[in-house]
Amino acid sequence: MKGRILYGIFGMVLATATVLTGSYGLSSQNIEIYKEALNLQDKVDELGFEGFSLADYKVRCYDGSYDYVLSAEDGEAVVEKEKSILQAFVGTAYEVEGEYQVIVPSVERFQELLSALSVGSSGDIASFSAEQYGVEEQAATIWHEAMHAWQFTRYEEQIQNIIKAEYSSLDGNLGNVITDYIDSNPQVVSLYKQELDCLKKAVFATSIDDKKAYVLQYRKLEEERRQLLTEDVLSVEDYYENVEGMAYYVESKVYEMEKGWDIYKEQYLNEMQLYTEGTHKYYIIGMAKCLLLDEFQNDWKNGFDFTKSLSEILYENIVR
Amino acid sequence: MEIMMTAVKEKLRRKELYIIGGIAVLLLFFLSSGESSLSINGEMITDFTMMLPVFLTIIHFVSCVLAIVLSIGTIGKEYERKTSHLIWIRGVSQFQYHGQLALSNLMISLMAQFVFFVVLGIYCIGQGQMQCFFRMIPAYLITGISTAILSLLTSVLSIVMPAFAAGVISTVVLVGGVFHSLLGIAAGTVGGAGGKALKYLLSVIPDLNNNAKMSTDFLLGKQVSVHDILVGVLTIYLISWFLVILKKKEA
Repeated sequence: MKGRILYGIFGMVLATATVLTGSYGLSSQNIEIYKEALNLQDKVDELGFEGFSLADYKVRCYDGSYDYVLSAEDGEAVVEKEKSILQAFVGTAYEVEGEYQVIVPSVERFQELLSALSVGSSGDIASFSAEQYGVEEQAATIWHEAMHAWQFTRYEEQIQNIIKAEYSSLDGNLGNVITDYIDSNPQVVSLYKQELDCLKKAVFATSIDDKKAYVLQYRKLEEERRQLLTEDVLSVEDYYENVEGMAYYVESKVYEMEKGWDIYKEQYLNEMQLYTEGTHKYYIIGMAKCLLLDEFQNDWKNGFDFTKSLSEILYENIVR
Repeated sequence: MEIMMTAVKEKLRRKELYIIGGIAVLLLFFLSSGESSLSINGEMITDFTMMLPVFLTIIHFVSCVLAIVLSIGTIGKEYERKTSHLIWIRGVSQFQYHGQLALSNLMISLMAQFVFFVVLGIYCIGQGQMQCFFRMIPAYLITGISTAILSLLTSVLSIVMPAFAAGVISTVVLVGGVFHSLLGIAAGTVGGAGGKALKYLLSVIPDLNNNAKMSTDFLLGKQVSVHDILVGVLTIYLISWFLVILKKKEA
């Protein structure tokens, strides 16, 4: 009996130590990441997106059980625990009570997600491995989703009209269009590989004339590819390029602000010529076109028109 | 302790120990030889820091499997053979009897795990990773948390249910524990009733994979979570109480 009592006391001490060493709620690391993202506002302003401010959008960090809603009040980060809106590990901008909010998994959950799924530079989820993903990467992801919040707040109707009738109701299943009509068509894939190679050369070219030459070469390949696809399928591609490409461009520039040119180049640019199945290639293509637009017309973001594809805007600016 | 030592000696005669353990040792030696062609995402794994997680994953998984296999029939067989009567007449309580048998299961499981860590130690020395070698005992104990959980759980379940049922439940816990992160992600991604059900199931299954990960991190000199280690030890402690609570009715 004495032994059981002593064993019971040992258990109580063990349980107390377990509780005291635990961390509950949103980890301080997520709050620090949010503050770091906010602190990048001045540099993000230099990109030129009018009225694009992270502080305008609440950031919901989902830890698997609850949403921890981060907002900026009087320069301080405020955290509120709420019932989870989506109850899913997604990075997105979502309308909550009439306003678009950023939703991201907590950094710990994101690391687990990457580790569990072992996604690397291919795939639709992220461009980072589990070992790479940390503070700067999560901050860049927050800015990516904040760009979506900005896009949908200002240009919701225009964006919804990008996708033509046949696929306008697919919403979350648009990726299947890419799988069914793009990735499964060898001719389209072959042209895409050439286009990606051209885009990379254009991005890395040092003179404006060389960039222009590569863009014009890209244009010919793109026109040839587009003839193989229906207007409806092309509208889905345009949607991903415009919406995700622009957000990926912001994410990559934020990453460059945090990590510097060399690491940014290695992460976002060095392998941009690789064809990947799924929608991630449009992130890269859209980002590349945004980078090229920066070279040809650095105020292209003013009054951006989502009814036009990035290609149309790029070619207009080359002709100027 | 006589009951425990007798049970350990009996287990050392079991062929499953040598078959599963032998295969695992051969696999580990093969991996450490540099002849293997492992790759992740198309990238060949040759570097020590990349091989170590592979080693620990295999050691952890095989140790957990052995823990179930070696623990599954111990208590049930004692009652089948009617040797339990010889115990009662000596004034040994059911708790003491089951406890010593469970301890024998745990000992033999940890001994098997120790052999795997010896192979790992040889690999570390061969790679010139002496700092890893000197961290092996705590890493062994961290991995041993999973082994102990499954061994004790199987022992406890076999008190009140047939060996097959105990094995099935323990295997479910093993699979759920090893794939805890992945299943957690799936639960979060799927959502709905299915996602909720999976979440509740995972809330009662310990994250065994985390022990393997902590063991790897510790060997590589990274920080490990004291809280997570205490959660594992607390789990072992709570399971051990069922050795006191659960009684077997004899015919």
